[in-house]
Amino acid sequence: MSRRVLILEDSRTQAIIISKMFQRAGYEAICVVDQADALAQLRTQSFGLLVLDVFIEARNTLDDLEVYREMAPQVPIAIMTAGQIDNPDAGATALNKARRARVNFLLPKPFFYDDVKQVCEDVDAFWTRNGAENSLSAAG
Amino acid sequence: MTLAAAPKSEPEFDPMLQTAMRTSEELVSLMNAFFVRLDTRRSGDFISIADEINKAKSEIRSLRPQDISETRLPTAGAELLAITRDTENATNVIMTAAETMLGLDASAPDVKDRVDDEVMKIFEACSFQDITGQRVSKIVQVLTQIEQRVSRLAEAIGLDDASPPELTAEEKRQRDLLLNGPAIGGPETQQADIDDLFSADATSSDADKLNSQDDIDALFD
Repeated sequence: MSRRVLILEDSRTQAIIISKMFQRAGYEAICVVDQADALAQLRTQSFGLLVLDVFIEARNTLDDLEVYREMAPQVPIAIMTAGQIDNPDAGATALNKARRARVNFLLPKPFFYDDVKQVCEDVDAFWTRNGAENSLSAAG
Repeated sequence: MTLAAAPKSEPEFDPMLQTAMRTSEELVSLMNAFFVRLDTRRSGDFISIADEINKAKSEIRSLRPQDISETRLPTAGAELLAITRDTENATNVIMTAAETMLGLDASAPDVKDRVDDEVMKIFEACSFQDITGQRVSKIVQVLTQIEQRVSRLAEAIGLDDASPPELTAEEKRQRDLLLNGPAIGGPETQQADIDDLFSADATSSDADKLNSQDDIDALFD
């Protein structure tokens, strides 16, 4: 599997911070600021993890999860959000919606390097397990 | 026997008195028309003033002063406090990390890892920017709402800006020496210029001239 992460984050500063954390954890980080760029990246290269911010401009990424799953089947998805300051419930609502949609990881902001490191370890384990299952099914 | 009714007789007035009474009646009639016209005009003025007062009251009501003082401004104030707290916390973390790195032994075998750890702390500390951006947007939104309401009120009641008040000597000094903090787009003295003034030449003859407040003030003129 690829140790490359696609980060969808519309804040340039946040994108830099998050990408530095993933780079430190040993991942190559590709940052995009909107869904169109994200899908363009998914068409051209493979990723081991998708890290998606919920509120991108006027869109809610959780409404588009199926698009990402079609473009990158089996690739684990981490959902991150800081919520909305005008709507204190938005963060919790989004995280619950993401969990119900069975995303693999939840990253409420602000998160720290240790959180990213843990996610990366779990992603590595996911691909090890998934790769083994694929090998078994190919052998069968 | 029936009693015959006594014949009515007009009272006899002096002809001069009768003339005076007729003249008075004509005068009263003339004055009455004048006062009616006067009352109508004054009445119109008062109605107009009352309308203006009602309009102003309506505009002040639409200003929703209680909403501003009890909700909007306290909310903006709380957001500013949170920004101050978050930036202060981040600054402390960043300075601590920088200080730790300054104290590292460059020849230590694990120096790279330790520097990486501290740099990561700096990145983590910068995470406050995400929420701070939202907080600032909220404050700007409150200020914009207040500005719109006040402008609408000023327009409705026909107010123009009064001429600015005369500055006190202290205010003039603050303005001239740029002591009111940084202004967007200048003209504050650039940080690089200030750094130059206080840099390595502290022992030079120029630095020796910085003896009084006036000398220091002159640097910022």
